[in-house]
Amino acid sequence: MSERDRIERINGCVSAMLAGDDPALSPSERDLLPLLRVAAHLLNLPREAFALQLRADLDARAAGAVTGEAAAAAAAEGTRTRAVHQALVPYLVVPDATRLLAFLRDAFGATEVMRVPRPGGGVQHAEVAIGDARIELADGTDAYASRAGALHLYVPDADAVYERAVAAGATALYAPVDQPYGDREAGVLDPGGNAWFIATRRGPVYRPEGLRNVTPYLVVRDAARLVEFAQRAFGATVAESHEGPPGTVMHAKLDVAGSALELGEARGPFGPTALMLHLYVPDADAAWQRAVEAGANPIAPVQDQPYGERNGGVEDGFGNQWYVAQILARP
Amino acid sequence: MGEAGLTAPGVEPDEQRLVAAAQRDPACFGELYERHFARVYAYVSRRVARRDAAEDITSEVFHRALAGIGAYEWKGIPFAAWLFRIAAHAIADRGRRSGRERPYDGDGDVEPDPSDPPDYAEAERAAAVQRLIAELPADQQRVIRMRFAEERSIREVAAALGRSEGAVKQLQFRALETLRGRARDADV
Repeated sequence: MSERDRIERINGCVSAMLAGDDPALSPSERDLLPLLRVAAHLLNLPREAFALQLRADLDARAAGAVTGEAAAAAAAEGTRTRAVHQALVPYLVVPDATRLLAFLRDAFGATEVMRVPRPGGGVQHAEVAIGDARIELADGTDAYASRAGALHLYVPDADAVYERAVAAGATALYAPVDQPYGDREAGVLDPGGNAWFIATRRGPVYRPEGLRNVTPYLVVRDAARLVEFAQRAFGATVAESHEGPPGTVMHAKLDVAGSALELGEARGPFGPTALMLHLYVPDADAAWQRAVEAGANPIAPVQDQPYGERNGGVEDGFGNQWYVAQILARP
Repeated sequence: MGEAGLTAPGVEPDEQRLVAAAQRDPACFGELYERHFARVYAYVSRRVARRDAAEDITSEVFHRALAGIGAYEWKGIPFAAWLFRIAAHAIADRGRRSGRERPYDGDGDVEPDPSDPPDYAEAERAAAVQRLIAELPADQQRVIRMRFAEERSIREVAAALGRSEGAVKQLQFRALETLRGRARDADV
């Protein structure tokens, strides 16, 4: 049998198996049997979207998710309780959070963990889970202006997610390409203007060890200086650093309180970006003080918030805002 | 893993630690899910005829496991075996409720035997082969996932990838050949 015949014959058998029929091989085709055994093991291959969705559902349930009216009521009472799921959470402040919520659901399979409506319409605060990562978002206001950051999303199939993102209304930055660092990667802008780098790591596991599905990515000018600042201000440690010309950092991965943060030098059409970050710490007052001493600009003093945490904000000199927060014990 | 190791799911390294962590803090359950999803799904999907039922039951298994993780006792019994037992009961419950689902290899009897070793072995083997997909070149992975997980036709895959139907069939063939070789090397 020619190779072309074998390819056709295998496909015919696979089609029959997918349709629930038994592929009948003639005695002369017995050498195709091993391939059909492999195909038989793939017949019930799970949908990746299902596996991701279930993981998100389980995480939401494990964290004691509260949604809708219950969340609003709890927030109003100042007794919102939640576990800190990850220490560093990107907080997307956008002109239309309702639209972004729908986009994150359709494009990335995000599940809503919490939505606190704004009186009179809109979103005061929402949290979603994408895989094992959390993202917070809200409508921009005078006090909290909309801003556009960047996020690094690892998924099992970057091509499929890129297609879904564009179908859900993303603006394409670049179609999936094989990057020299081992990732298949695409870029899009979400409806709020945030950049998403959608990646699949080549190899047995689709994402690098230690990363959640989403990692905040700071694109700045003079990334080397931001690395130093994060070390001094937040006790960040450098997990990975790729240097460019002497004294510059092209890409780095930091560990901030056990959460990953990536950053890179602005170049080409990307950045600089400005992200808001929510950093959970044991002592918000001490963390805020340390950040200011490291050169951060104070933007909000540390105070108890009605939603059950004590927090304060600083700006890092690169346009990113950091809210250091500690969970308050229930009254 | 040899044939003997396949008759029952093995104890994963550091499994005891992971289970203990999830018992202390349910937020750690995700790690157990990642390790066991493929085998549980493979086990369930072999015993119900429809994909949506397999997804519902797999979801139910992990939700039940999360809710009942405190009841799991470490006595050297693999966590996977505990999950399979939950799965067997979930399949039986569903069979009783609907009477619709039927196992692939039975004729109407939806009550599985939770200790039936061949099913574990088959599920382990399928999950092991499926894990190898991640090592394929990206275009072959896409074809395999679209074809087998999304159950799309060659024509649909070709249109989605912007390739000819012949090229897609060839990618499918190469992927199966590679998987077969890797599975043999890994003694799956």
